[in-house]
Amino acid sequence: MLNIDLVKQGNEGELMMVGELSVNTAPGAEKIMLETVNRFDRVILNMERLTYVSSAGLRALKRANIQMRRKGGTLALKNVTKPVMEVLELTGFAVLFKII
Amino acid sequence: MSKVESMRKSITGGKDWKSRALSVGFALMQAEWVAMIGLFARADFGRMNPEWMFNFGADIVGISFCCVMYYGCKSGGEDERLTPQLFAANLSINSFALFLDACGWFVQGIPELRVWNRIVNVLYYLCGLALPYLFWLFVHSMLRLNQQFVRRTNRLFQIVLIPFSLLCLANLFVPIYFSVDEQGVYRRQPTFPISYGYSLIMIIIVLVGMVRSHAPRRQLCVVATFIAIPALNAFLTFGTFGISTQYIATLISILLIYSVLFAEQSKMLTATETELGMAAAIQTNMLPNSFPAFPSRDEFEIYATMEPAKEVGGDFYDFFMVDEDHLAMVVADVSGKGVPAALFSMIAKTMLKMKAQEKLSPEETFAEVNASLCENNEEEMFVTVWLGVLELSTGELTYADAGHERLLLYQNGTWSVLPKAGGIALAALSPEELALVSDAAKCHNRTIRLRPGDAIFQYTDGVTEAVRADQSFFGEKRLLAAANSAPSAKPKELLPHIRGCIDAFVQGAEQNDDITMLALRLNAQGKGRRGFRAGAAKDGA
Repeated sequence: MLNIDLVKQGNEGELMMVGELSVNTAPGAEKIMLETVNRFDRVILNMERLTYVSSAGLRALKRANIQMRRKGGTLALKNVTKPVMEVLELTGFAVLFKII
Repeated sequence: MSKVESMRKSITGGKDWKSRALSVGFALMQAEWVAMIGLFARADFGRMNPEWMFNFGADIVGISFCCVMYYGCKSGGEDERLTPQLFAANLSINSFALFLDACGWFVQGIPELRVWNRIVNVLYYLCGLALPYLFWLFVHSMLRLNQQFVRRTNRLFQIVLIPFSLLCLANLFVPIYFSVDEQGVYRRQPTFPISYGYSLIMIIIVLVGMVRSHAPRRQLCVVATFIAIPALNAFLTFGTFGISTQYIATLISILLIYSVLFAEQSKMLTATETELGMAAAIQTNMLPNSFPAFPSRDEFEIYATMEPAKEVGGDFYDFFMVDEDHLAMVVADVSGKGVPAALFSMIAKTMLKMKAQEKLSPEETFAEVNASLCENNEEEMFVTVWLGVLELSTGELTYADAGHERLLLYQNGTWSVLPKAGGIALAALSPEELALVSDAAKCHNRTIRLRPGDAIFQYTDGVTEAVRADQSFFGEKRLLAAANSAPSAKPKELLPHIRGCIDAFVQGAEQNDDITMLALRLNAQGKGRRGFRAGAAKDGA
């Protein structure tokens, strides 16, 4: 189960992610992230209440990040929780993202 | 201050409003069924004509059929042609019509309920308008008609629906199709046959559609029955009053369509399952899976297992001799699951083996494989890998990890977790991107020395992320405890023990990720020769 809220402020979009980014929720989340990336120059993924990320979820994050870099904007991860940070560090994905 | 806009989206693993609507529809249908039983229990059968009772019974059976089919289409797969929503709508309207029919007979001849008699019958006629339209929406995709024709007929239907709906509703106030007198008795009016006009238009449209269709004959026949059965019914009961079987007739047609589509779908499913089964067999056979793996070498023992969560998995392990003295071991996890992950894992496995056999160090192997995997990786898949090369003569293990789990080491009778040192999953970053990454984050060779009796254990996140009903994970701590509680560090005993601990932990919860484990135990430091005896280790130690 994953809930995503978009809060827009000017050309910055913040996605509040609540729940789990698992193999089941990753495709839907990816779609929303790509849509958001296409709309804004700066996107923040607020992971304060994201409790879990699987490899499929990492892939969704990666695709959003690549899309963002292609258009020259920035994608940042905010308030990453401990279990999610552990996965990001374990897989080395932490270096891919701007983490604030 | 800029405008703040909010939007909320919910992702519940494939469950969206459509499937929720289906569930609501199902609940309603069950409610109808229960209400029917209630009516049945309270009906005054002494007052009823025998044919009314027959209708009543037929309606209950009909709704039961609708419930069963509805459940089938709700839990059925996402077949584009089956359009579960449309099919469910068909069933809903049909069962509602049956329900109304029963209600109609229930209120017949009761003066106090004459207003209800009127409402029920108007709704009943409205169902008669909705059902053919829904049927048409469902059938035109089956007949594979061209879009222009479909658009035109849809518009025609919509135009025709308006006057006929108004005519229906008018019956609430003026008797056109029927009247309900002071005694609460429903009677058809001489102008009743007007209601056949709509059916006639619908029949003509479907017939024209059938003539223009290029669908297989069997599907044409099924569509034809939707006209033929109700038409036959209308013909047989024409001019009679008291037997209302038209919705039972339409239900039979729906049942036929359902059976035909269901049969086709299951045929396709069987084919897919067979192919998946073959893919799974190919995958299993690509992993070294006969143990003992090196019967002629007793200076070490190795054992590994891979259990995919679906038929085929994204995990893999591998081990092979690089030369007489070097054993390479791989444990890897591709992002995602199923066939795409399995294909990617086979590519990664082949590349890793190829490079490792060129006697490159794990770090160099990773750099080369990463570059190759990044080419044409449109799907942005990636793979976390642990690769270790053991020099059997010295017990020196050189390993590197690309975003993989921490290695477990057995030394002096206890298992411990080795610290992590950088490492980015393969195919996650292209070589150019990798050049920008700090040196500490990259994959590096690490070396440890194994002594006789020492062992290592490597696994994928399916182990630590095995999840219980209360959403808690198995985790590294429990894994370490499980390893330490094993009767011995012999791989063949260790792996089943850990698997047993995971099973005990998840308490029957469904496995949601591939589970892969590999363990190696060094029996003796050999000279890398064949036929080396374990006994010699005692002298050497």
